[in-house]
Amino acid sequence: MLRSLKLEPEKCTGCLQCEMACSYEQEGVFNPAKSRIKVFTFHHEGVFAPYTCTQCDEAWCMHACPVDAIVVNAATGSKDVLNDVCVGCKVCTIACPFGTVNYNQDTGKVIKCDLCGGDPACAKACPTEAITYVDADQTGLERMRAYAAQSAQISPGS
Amino acid sequence: MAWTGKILRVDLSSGTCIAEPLNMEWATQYLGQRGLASKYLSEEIDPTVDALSAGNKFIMVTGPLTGTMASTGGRYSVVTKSPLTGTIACSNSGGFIGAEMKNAGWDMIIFEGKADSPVYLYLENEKAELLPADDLWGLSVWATDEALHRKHQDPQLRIACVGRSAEAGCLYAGVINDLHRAAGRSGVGTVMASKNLKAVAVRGTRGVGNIKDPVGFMQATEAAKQVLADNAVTSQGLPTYGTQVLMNVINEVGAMPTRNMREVRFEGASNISGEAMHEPRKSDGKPNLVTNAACFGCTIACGRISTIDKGHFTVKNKPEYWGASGGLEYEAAWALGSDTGVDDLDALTYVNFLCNEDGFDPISFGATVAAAMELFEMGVLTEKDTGGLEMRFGSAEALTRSAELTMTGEGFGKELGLGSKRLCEKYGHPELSMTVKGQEFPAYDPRGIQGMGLAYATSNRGACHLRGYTVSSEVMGIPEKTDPLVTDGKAGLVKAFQDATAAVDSAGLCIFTTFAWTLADIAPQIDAACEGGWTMEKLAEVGERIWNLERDFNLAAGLTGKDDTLPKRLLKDAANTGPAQGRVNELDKMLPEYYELRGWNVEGVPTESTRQRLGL
Amino acid sequence: MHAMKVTLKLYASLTRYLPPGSGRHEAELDVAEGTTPAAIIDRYKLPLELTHLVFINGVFVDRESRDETELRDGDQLAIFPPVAGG
Repeated sequence: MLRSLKLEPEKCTGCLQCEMACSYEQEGVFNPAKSRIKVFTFHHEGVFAPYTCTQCDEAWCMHACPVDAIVVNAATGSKDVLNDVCVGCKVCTIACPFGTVNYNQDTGKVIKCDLCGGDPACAKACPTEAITYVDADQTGLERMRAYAAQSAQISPGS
Repeated sequence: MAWTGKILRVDLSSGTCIAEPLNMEWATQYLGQRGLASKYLSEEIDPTVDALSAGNKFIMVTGPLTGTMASTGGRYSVVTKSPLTGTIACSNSGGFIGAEMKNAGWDMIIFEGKADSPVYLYLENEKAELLPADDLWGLSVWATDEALHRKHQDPQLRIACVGRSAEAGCLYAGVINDLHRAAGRSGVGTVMASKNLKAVAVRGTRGVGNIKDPVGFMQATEAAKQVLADNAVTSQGLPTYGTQVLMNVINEVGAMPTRNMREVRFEGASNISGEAMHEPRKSDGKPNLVTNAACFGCTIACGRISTIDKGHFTVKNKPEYWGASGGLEYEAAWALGSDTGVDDLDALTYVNFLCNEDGFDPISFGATVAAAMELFEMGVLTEKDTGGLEMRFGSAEALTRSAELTMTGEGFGKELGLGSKRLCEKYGHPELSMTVKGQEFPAYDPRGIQGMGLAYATSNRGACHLRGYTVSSEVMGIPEKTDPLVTDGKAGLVKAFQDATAAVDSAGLCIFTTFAWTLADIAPQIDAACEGGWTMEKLAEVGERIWNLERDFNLAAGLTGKDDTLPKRLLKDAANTGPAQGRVNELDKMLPEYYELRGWNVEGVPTESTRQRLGL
Repeated sequence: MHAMKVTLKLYASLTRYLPPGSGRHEAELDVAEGTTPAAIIDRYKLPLELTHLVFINGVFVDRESRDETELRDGDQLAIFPPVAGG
C-alpha cells in the first residue's frame, strides 16, 4: 500500500517541529531553512499551514529534468533527487507548479521531500497530528466522515 | 556542544560588529541565556551606571537548547540594567527570533555604546551590519516589521524591535519579536531605544548542530515530549485555554488582586477568562479566540490568537485591528481587567493588541492605570492632569484611551509611561504604588498566596511571577500541594523555585514545561546536548549561582535588603473577602529564614562562604 | 433531614458537566444535609481524573477529605481540572 503525507492546517500550531525533524533527518542539523516541508503562518487569519511535495504521479520536476536526476522510488512512490546526477540547473524548481522543489545553495543541488524512504520524520515529530502518513487512496477519509456525520444530523428524518 | 561558541559584539558608538569566541568557562558555570548573559553584564558594566546611558549594555542571548528539537527550545532573553527598577533585568521571550539567531550561528549579541542616529542590525549568518533606521524611527512595531520585510524582500526574516512607546521614553517598554511575542518586562525596550537601536533583523540558514550525543539527545527530547503529551496541564489545559485558564481559579481562591489591589476578588472575572474567550460573541457569533499557537519548537502551544468584534467601540472604522493577532495571556488580562475593574473582553484584547503594536508591558501599564484610577477617585488626580480623561475604575474607555496615549507617549500617556511608582510619588501617595523595587505586580495577591509575597519581595527584577512561581504549588498542587495561607516552609519553597527557574531559563527552555517536567526530565536533555555533566544537582547549583550573581549585581547597584519588601497595603490592610479574609502577607515571618537558607547575612548580603561555595 | 442549597461551580473542560439550564459556570443545587463533594462529583458523573482541584468557599479540599467533608447550607463548591499557567 502506498502512503501519502496528509496535511491538516486546522490542527497545526506552527511549532516547526516538522521542519527541524526534516532537516535533522536529511541534513543532520536542526535547520528549518533546509527543511523540505514548510509551515506558513497567515497571521491575520490565525492560520498555520504545513506544505510539501505531494509526489505527483506525472511529476513535472521529473519530466523537466534534463539529466534524469529525479527518479521514482518504487517502494514509496516518492520522486527522489539523485545527488550525484543533479547538476543544479534548477529547471525542476521552475517546472514544479507547487514550489516544493528548491535549490540548496550550500550544495549546488536541489532538494525535495523524499518521504524519508517511507518513514517521514515530519509526521513522527508533529505533536498535533497535523501531519500524518496515511493510505494514499484514503487521504479524504476523515473529511468524508466529518461530512457524513454532518449530513446525518442535518436531515435526521430523511 | 549545542552552544555555537560564538558571540557578536556590536559597538553602536563606532558602528563595528565583531565576532568573538564564547567564554566556555562561563558557559559551564552559567549554562546559557539568562545566566550567561547576566555573567557577561556583571563583568562588563558598572552596576551603578545610568540604565539609559551609553554605559549600559543590551544583550540578546539564546540558550544551548534554543533552536533544537527540545520542546519549547526557542527561548531567548534580553539582559540589561533596567531603567524601571535599577536592578539587573532579564526579559524572556518565545516566538522565533531566538532560534533564528542560533541558526545564524550566534549564542549572544552584545550591544554597547550608543548610535549617533537610529540604526538596526541586519544579521544574515556570518554577515552582520548596522544599517540606517531613520525611516523606521517613529514607526510602530508592526509597521517596522512590515517595512523591514519589504526592504529586504525576505519573508523569512525574523525581527525584534521597539515601538513608539520605547522611543517616547516609556519606562516599561519591551522588545517585541515576531509581531506579538515580547521580552516584555522591566523596560528592556526602553534601553534598546536609548541606544538608537530600532530593530534586529535575523536570517539564519546554518542550523544548529554540534549536539554532543545526537542519538541520546533525540531519545531524551522525545521522552520529555511524551511527558508533556501525557500531562493534562500541558496537553489539554494550556493549549485549550492558555494561561488564561487561571482567571477563574485565582479568583476562586480569593487571590485575584482587584482595583489596584484593594480587593482580592473580581466580580467580572468570568467575563474575561480563558473560558469566555471560547464563547461566541453576541454581536457576530464568533469567539474571541481564533486558534492556539506555538512558539518555536513548542509542543504545548499555549499562545492565543484572537480577534476583536468589528463593531466594538474600540475598533469601529479601524479595519487595521479587524484581523487576528496575539490575544490575552492571564497576566495581561488581569492587569488590564481585574486591576482596573474593566470586564470588557474586547476592550482588553484591543489594549493587548496596542501593547504589541507599540511594545509596552501590559502588566506594568494596567497596574499603572489602576493606580491612576485610585488617585483619580480620591480626587488627587484630576481631569486637568489627565487631559480630560475620567480615570474611573471599570471604565473601558479610560483604559483604552490611556493605552492609545501611552503607545506614543502623548499627553497623559507620557506620565502613565513612567510607571505607577513615579506616578504615585508625583501625586503624593507613594503608598498606592503596587510595586516592588519599582516594578508592578503580576496577578496573584500575596495575602491569599503567602509564598508569592516572599517571591515578589526577593525577586531580582522587582515584582514578578516568573522568578519563583510558587502559585504552582500553593494553588495548583504542582509538583505538590501546599497551603497558600501558611508561611511555614515557604522560604524553602521559594528558594527551590527561584533556583530551578533560573536553570530552566538558562537552558533556553520555557518555564511552562515545569508544570509537567521536573529537573529530572530536563537534565538528560541538556546533558545529551552539552559537555559538562549536567545532572539535576548541577542544574540546581547553577540556578543558585545565577540567583546570587543577580543579587550581587543589585547590591552593587545600590539596593539593599530593605528593598526586599512589599507595599504597605499588602502588609497592613487585610484581605476583604475569601479564604484570606482578615489576612495580610506575613513577609516578616518568611524573610529571615529565606536569608538564612540562601546563606546571606541578616542584611540580605551573601556571606563569604556562600560566595566561595558558588564560585562567585 | 432537610434540604439545603449549595452552589456548584465547574470550570474549563468540566463546564460541560453542569446540569441543563445552569449559568455560565454555576448551578444552584438542592442537596441533603451531610452531602460531600465526593457525592456531588459522583452525582454529576465528573471524570475523577478531571476533578483535580476542589474548593469549598475557596479553600482547597484534598482528595482524601472529599468524602468526609460535609457541605453546609450556602456553600460554594468549585471544581477545576488540572490547570496551570502564568
